Amino acid sequence: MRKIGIIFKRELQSQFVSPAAYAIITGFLFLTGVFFYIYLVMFVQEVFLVKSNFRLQGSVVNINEYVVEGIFSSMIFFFLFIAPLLTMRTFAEERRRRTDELLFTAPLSVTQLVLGKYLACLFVLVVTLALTGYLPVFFRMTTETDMGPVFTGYLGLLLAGSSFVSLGLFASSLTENQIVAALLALVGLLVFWVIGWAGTEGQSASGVFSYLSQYEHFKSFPKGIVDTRDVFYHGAFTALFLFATHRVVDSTRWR
Amino acid sequence: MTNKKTSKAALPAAIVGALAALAGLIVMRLDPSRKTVAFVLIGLGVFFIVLYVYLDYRSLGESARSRSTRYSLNALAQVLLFAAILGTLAWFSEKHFVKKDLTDVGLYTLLPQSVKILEGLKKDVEVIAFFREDDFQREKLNILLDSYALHSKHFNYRIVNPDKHPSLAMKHGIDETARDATVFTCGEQTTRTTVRDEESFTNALISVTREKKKEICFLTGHGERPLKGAEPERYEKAKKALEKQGFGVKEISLYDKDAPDECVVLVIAGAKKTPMDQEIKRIDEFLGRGRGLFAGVDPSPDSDLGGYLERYGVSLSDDIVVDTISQVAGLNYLAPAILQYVQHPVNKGFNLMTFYPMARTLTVMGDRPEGLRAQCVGSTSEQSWAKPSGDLDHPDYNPETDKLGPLCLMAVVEEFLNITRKKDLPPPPAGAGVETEESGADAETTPAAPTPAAPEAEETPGADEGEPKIRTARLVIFGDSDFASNRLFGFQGNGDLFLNSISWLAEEEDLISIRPRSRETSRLEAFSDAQAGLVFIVSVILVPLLVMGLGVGVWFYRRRL
Repeated sequence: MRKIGIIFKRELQSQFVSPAAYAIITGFLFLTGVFFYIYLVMFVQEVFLVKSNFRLQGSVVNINEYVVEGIFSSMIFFFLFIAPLLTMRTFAEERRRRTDELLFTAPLSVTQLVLGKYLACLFVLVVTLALTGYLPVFFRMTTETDMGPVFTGYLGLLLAGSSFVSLGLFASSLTENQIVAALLALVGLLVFWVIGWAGTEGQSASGVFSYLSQYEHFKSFPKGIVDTRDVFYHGAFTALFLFATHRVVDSTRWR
Repeated sequence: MTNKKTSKAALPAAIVGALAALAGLIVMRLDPSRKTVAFVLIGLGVFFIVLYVYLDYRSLGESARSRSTRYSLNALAQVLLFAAILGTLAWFSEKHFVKKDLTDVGLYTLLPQSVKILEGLKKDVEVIAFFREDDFQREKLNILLDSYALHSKHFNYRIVNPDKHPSLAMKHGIDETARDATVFTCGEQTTRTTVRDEESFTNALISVTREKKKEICFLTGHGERPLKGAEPERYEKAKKALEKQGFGVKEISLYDKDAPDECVVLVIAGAKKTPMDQEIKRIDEFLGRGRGLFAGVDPSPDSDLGGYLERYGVSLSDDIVVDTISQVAGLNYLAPAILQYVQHPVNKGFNLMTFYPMARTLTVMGDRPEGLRAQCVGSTSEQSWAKPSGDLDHPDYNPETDKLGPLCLMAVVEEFLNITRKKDLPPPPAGAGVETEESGADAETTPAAPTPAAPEAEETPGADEGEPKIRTARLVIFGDSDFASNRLFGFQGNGDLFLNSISWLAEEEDLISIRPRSRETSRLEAFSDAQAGLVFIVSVILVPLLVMGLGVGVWFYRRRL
């Protein structure tokens, strides 16, 4: 555990001394802020419209459905892009600078190396999410909000973010070029995001495509539902790509 | 030593082979009818790949024997094995899972009544929900149906796009006008609902798993429209549509015997003569058992059932409706249309136009006995008027003799039998958890059963979660009977409204009322510009700027080092 901690601290330091991480997080927070503001203003306008128009009295305009679900859906979409950017240099940069040889000769297992880097990237993601902590405050400030879905929405973001980071690490382990690593990760994540659309109803394959889709295993969280099937999926996804990263790094070591 | 000439041809062969094979697979996936083309392409692909191997087998052999290839293949095999293990675990997780609903109102949690019914299922129930891909409600529906499947292995569902499966849709009577429906099938029984909520689904489950089929009985003996025959004025299409919905349909006579017990709805479709006294008495007794009456009453002198319906607060006028709107739909002015409906459970979610050739108006009487709730739910437009029957030579509006629209063509009556006839209420189902209230009425009523007072107009009695419905007699009355005949059954919304009416009438006391769990509109008294400004400043400017500032600070610090 101590060695994992050493790699974790080293990777974290490397993330936060470079302006790249700050730029990525700033971009994410800016976009989240803009979308949140738009959702909230539209929601407020809709509430007053329903109140003032007798014909719309039967319509339900609820902050959870209009704002909470919307902003979490937007944030996971932004994650699709920031996860590759955060992970692209983890292994690719080491290979380019040939510092991976130093790591491989250190008294350190590949497992400790992979886990240390994974935890560091995940920590950056958690910090990014924590910086959106103003959202629940504003929800409550605006009107009575069901906080259950807010909590589960963050849980979903964390689980999905963990999956995204693991795939990003895997992509980074495949190449020494950061841009290629980011692109591979992005393409991979997009494939897993939209793969659910590929199934045709009634065919057995559609169930498999649907199961593989990241979107299908995220969409319930902002609604306030925690399903162990979704939790298992994200855990298995993370485990699979961390294992794949482990194998790639290990095979590189022996070439 | 590699042959440079052959290795130059090898790579293009490999690329062509891979592309051809991929193209073949894509063609097979996108257009299964072009199997020959697909197989040819795949065959070509295989050929070129084999050619590549043949042309470059030496260097391939060297690569295969190299250490890096062996390590890569080994790593790949391990990853695939790990994926297979995870796949097996995933399969287990699909079979044994827990779902928690953390919403404050339990939006995605089924009520105990629904759960009890699901857990009591002994036969398989297949549910097909027909919905289009772009329907945003599809996700909510999926969550709802998943909740049902969670509680019973006998509950299986799938959501199907009727556009992609037209034959399946047609088999279940789903067409352009009746697209959004969920069909429940259990053995031979089938039923369907166009409403997507827990109450409808649970009641559909109760209906479809019931041992005995519900019968819709058509009264005969007074010139009513026959059920068999393809002639335009007959009701064969209506009969077939009812059978498709899982009802039994038969003709009965009340001249010398009561309505059979299995009849849940009595239909009087275009009677030309008034029923005899004993028949009226039997109809009344039938309604007293908490059953339903559908009356399509045409504008002719002896067809008004002898004023029987006035007992239920609805009088029939001796007139004929003229409507200029109908000409837009290609009908003449004597086929008035209902364009809008008053929201009532009988027409829940229904908004199609319906047309009624040669219709008479209905009047919901103001003075009604206690325990009767009657209302007009379908009226014509303001561009219609009712002329006294026999005065059709001059169809133009005459303010001295004619009634101007909107005119009522469809009325609905509910008789609360516990009030009008002091009927005992059904005992609550086991485990319903019904709380009893002080009985302020008849001392002979069962002490455990609640006896509410006459309900307010907006209340639905027994609407507390999971309570059995209070026994009511129900009537749906139309000022016309041929809107549901063979000629017009498939026209616009006519058939659907007929089926909706029968379905509503056929609901029985063992069905439950569930107040749907839903969110309410958020309370928002005010949202000032200052509040909006604060949200903007914090979320769009302050927080991102803080992080950016930190990044700039770190960058400057590093530069100084």
